[in-house]
Parts: sequence; C-alpha cells; structure tokens
Amino acid sequence: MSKPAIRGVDLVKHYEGGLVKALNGVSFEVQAGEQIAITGPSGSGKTTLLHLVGALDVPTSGRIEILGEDVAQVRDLNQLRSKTLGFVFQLHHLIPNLKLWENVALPAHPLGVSRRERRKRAVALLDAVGLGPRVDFLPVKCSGGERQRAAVARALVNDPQILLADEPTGSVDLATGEKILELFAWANQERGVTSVTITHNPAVADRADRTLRIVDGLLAEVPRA
Amino acid sequence: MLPLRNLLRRKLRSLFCLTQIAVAIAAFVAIVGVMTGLRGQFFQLSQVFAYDIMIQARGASSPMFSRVTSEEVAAIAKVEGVEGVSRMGFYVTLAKGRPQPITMIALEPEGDLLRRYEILQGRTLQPGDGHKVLIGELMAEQDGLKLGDQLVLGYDGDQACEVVGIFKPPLKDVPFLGGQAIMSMDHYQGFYKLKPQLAVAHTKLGGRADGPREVYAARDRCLKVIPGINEAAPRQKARTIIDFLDSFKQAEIVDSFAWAISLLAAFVSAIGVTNTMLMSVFDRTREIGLLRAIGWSRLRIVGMIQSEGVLLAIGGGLLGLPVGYLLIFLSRFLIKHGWLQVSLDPLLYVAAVGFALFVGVVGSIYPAVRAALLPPTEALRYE
Repeated sequence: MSKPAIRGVDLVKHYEGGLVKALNGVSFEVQAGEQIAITGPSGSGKTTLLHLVGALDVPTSGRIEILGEDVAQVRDLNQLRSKTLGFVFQLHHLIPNLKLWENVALPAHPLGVSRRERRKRAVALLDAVGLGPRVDFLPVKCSGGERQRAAVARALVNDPQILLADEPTGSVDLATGEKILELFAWANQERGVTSVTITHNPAVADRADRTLRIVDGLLAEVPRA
Repeated sequence: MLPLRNLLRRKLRSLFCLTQIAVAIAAFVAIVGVMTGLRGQFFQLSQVFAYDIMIQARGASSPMFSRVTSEEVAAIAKVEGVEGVSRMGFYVTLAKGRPQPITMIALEPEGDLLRRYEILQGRTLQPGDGHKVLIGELMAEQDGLKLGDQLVLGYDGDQACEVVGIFKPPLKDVPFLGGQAIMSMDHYQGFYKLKPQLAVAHTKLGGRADGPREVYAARDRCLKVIPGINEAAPRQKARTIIDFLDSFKQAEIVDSFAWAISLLAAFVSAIGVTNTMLMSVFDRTREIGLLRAIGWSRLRIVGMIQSEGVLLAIGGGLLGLPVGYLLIFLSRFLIKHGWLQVSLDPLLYVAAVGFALFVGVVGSIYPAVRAALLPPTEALRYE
C-alpha cells in the first residue's frame, strides 16, 4: 500500500502555556487523491490543524507526515509550502497592486521560475478557472467570486499535490461557492490533487470523499448516511 | 517591480519619505561641498608656501599677537638652509566710503613674499614707498578704485594712500585675498609705528610645490632647517606651512561639523525610512503572512522590504542631488568673493549615492526583520 499523502500522529497543540488546548491528540490519514472535509464548531481547532498540516505552525507534540516525510525533518519548509502544498483561505488575500496573473504567479517566485513561464502558467490556470479575460485586471476590478477563483488558481500554480483550503466558500455567495467546489473537483480529477477543506457548510462537506469532525480538539470520522 | 509597486500604493507617504531623504542628501552634498572647498584652499596654501617656514612668537595664540624683532630676523637669515627671510605685518582698518574693513598687509618691497603677487596694473612697491598701497583686484572692482586713486584709511579717514598697483593674489581659489591691500613694511613701521608680527624663512626662493608629493618633500626640507631657526631665535617658534595650517582649527571644526550634520541628517532620514517601512509592514501584515504561507522565505521578505527602503532612498537621492548642487551653485554665486569657496566635486555624486544607500539599507533593517519574523499564522489572522 502506498504512503498516505498526509498523516497526523497524536497531534497536540496548546497555546498560552497550555491554557488553550486546540488539539488534544489527533491522528488521521489522508490518502493520495482523496478529498477530505473537516467540520466542527468555531474554535474547535480546525484551522490549527490545517496550519499544522500546511507547515505554517508546529505541534506541541506529535508529528505530521507529508507524502511520507516527517515535516519536522524537512530542511526547507518554504520549498514544501510552495511546491507540494497549495493554500486557499477564506479571504482571497490577493495583493491589490498586482494584476490577477501576477497574484496567481506569486508562489512561483521562490522557485526561480522565469517571468515568462510564470505568466504562461498563471494565464493557463486563470483560463481554466474561467478568468481568461481578466488576467491583466487588478483585483479591485474583479468581483468577490472572481477573486476567490483567482486565489484557487494561485494555490495550483506550482502544481501542488495537496490543496489545503480554509473555508474557501465562506465569503462568497452560493453560486460562486459552487464554482469554487467545481474547481476543487477539477483539480482532483485532472491533476490528482489531494484536498483538505475546512468548512461549516454541510453541502461542501457532502462533496468530499470523507468528512472528519473535530470537537474540543479531538477528531472523529463522520459516517456517511 | 514588486517593491516599486508597493511604494506606489501609498504615494503620499512614499513622497513624504522621499522628500525627507532628499533634504538630507541636499544638506550632505552642500556640507561636503563646503568641506571639500576648505580643504582645497588649505592645500593651495600649502603649495604656495611649501618651501617656507612660518615663524611666530612662542605662546602667541594667533599671528595677530605675535612679534618678531629685526635682531631675530637677522639671526634667522644666517641659519644654514635659509635662503631669505621676509617679515609680515597686518592689521585691520577702516577705509573711507567702504562699509567693511580692510585687512592691510605689510610686506618688504624686496622680499620674496611680495614677488608672489602678480601685478595686473601699475607697479609693485619699492623701498621707501610711503603712503603708497597695492590693492587686490577684488577691492579695485568692488570699490571702483583705479591707479592713482586715494585709499583713505583710519578711523578718522586721515591716512590717505595712493594706489600704485593692482595685484592678483597668489591663491586663485581664495578670492578673499584679492580684497586685501599691501603697504611697505617701512611705512607700516614708520608711519603706523607697528612691529612685524611674522617672519617667513624661505628654504627656496620663489619655491612652490606642484603636487602633494612635492609639498611633503618640501616639508621634509623645512623640518631639517627648523631646529637651527629655533636655536637662533629661541623666543620664536618655527613651523612648516602644513604644521602652521594645522594650528588653525577651522578645518578641523568644519570637518567635525560637516560629519556631525551629515550623520544627523542620515540618522533623521533613516528614521523616516524606518517609520515609512514600518507603517507599510503593518499595513501589509496579512499579505506578508500569505507570502510566507505560499513559500516565500524570510530572506525573500527581507529582500523585498529592504529593496523598498533602498528604492525610497535612491529616489530621495536623485531628488536631493540636484537640490544640493543648486545650493552649492547658489552659494558660489552669492559668496563669489567670500572667504570660503565651495567645491563642486563629481565624487560628491558617488558619496551622495553611498549616503542614500546607507540610509535606505539601515532604515529598513528593522521593518524588514520584523516582517520576516512575523509568524504566518498570526499574520494571516491580523485585523
């Protein structure tokens, strides 16, 4: 059996010297190509878990493995974040003074990709997410949905194997949310991208292969009806 | 491109910072220009008097308070290596119809010092010339004096001297000397009852050094003669021109002043850069968090913020340089005949660019490090 794309082993994350216990021994596996949804009430530790998986934070104890490699042993976390992982946040976080294609190309900068190649990749992805005519627009000229789609394109620009999304449809209307989810499905089918999506929305969770629910820092699989 | 665009996001803020740096650069250019000008003047003096030994009474804080007697001059003239001795006297007096005072110099008509003044019109002074003066070309121009005119000296305007010659001072970059007048030592001593204040021993008559190497070679030559002079005239102190000029603290003071003002300007503008960049970093906290999340290294973030600081500083430099040069140009124009000349050295460009880079790099260190150390998780949550 091949190694899981993501593996969390006894993950504990405490803040404020142990006063805030965000995760209390979480273990889980996500197989390559799987689409996972993580649900749970606010403050239950969902975003903390995503940040640990995304190597944006370190656990108090336990370990995270990405594609079989212990994140704590990875020498260049920046490389891991830019090449292997793609992030989509609830807010698009597009840089207002950069055109859409420049925003999409930002993760390619640290990899030393030439400007021409960056533009080529960004334009192709913006085309794929239906923003072909907007490549040279500034974010301010785009709708909220378009900006979020651009953010998805940005997450995919380095062809990552894992997509991590934190409430990707949380700030857009239903129709736009639907388009975003279609993009995730497209990335999964066309590119084999494994995805972990945090959501409060049951409709979003229903589209995932599996749903994990986190309550009080503990994780449990939600059985399918 | 990204640093430039980031600066353009807050145009007014960037412009204020740019202006602050520009003012500092302009001040730096102007001050260093003054400093370089003064150094140039001192170097010219050391060239013209390279082979001369300045002799001044021991303990006299300035040549004004010095005295040298005829006996001492005679004794100095006999010292081996001395080819001639000139006496000098000077006093400051008023002249009728002239608002500013005149520095009157008394020289021996046959001495080596007077020969260094180029006579443009008329004649030089001759032994026995009483009530006769040479005036500098600047004084002739400013006071509208010509040969044969009377220069009426003294507080009561009762000492008239005939202008017999108009001279060009030996130092081309010290036009202030062209505002002086020269009378004969005989008249100075006979009519005014004043004593010579300085003696100048010449180790080479008419000697003038062409470059720094010769200046120092001439100094070595003078240093060999000085012990003999000090022995011949124990109440006097003999010094080479370089040592004599060193005793004037003006250059040192101007140097220190220039450095102090430049450092202050650099400090203030670096604070300006820090402030601007810090505000920018605060504004972009979430953006920086995002960049870290998508794989930008801390070093890359530092590079981006530092590039913005350096761009600001270079922009300020480009704005400040012409302003500084304009200040120099104006000061040269306004103090055309003043005692201080301002230098317009192309090397100033290099120094000013270095100054700007220093300001940009130093001023943006803290904001850059702060941005780089922002934990991405906190930065992304920043409101």
